Amino acid sequence: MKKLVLFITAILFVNVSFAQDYSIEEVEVIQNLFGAEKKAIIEQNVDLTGVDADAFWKLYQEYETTRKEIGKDTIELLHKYETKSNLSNEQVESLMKTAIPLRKDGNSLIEKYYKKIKKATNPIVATQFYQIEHYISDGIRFAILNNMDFVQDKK
Amino acid sequence: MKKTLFLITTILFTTLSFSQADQDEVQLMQSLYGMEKKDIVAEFVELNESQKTTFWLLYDEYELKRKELGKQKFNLLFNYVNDYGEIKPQDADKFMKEVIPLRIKTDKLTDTYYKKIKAKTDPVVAMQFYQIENYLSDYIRLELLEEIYTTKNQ
Repeated sequence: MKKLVLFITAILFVNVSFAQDYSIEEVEVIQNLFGAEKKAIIEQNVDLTGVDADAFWKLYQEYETTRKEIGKDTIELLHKYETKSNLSNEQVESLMKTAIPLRKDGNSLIEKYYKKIKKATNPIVATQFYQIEHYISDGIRFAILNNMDFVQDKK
Repeated sequence: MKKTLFLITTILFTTLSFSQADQDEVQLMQSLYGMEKKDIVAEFVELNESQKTTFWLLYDEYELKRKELGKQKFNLLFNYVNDYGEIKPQDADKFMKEVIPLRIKTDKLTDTYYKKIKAKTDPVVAMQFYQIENYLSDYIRLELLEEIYTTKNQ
């Protein structure tokens, strides 16, 4: 788990250039930030000793499929936002109408699978899943906010 | 968000001392950001003269509620980190039963005040509020999770 501590340092040196690169996908952002495939990060941080590992991975795959959809929508929204300058009140409102539910959906998905994983394995495994998933998603959000122009920069 | 880049560099040089029971979230924020939270928000949210009083009235109201949630979160994490060595499944379960609602409540609070601020000022001001608040809270959450991981490995 020590590897994770390097992550914040990585934000400093990795240029997450969403706006410049339209083809970039969220999975690539994760890989750039963490220097590993997402599954490898999970393997390192969720201890499956003594629990039904197959059940965990089956649920995890299910979770990832839905999460990737949300991640895709987030990146799309970001592109939409980055290509606009001088945002009007109306444009801001319409962007926020997508941004707020997307953030909520991402959080609800983690909670939903926390419960499913808890049932299929145990509360410690589920806690580890919850923590690492939030660590990754908070990290991505932070990196995104850090790399994007703030509204005021656009004026 | 260019102006906030300096925040990140401070993470590298800040050491959190979770072991000190007297530290609270407000102090943590201040040591991380190197300035009062309100000053950061004042720098990022652009208000015209007619919006200032209304915005800060709502913001203070928001902060009062957020600080209360922050205090609960901090206490919870403090206990968790200190007990971690011998955490049992039932402890993890109990911990999460408090952690999850706290996170939901905090996010809801930001959403509620985003709407209130939008109604009383304008959508751009509200979006600036939403962005800076989420930026700061994501940062704190990341930092706290790092602390958990680091502590667990000690």
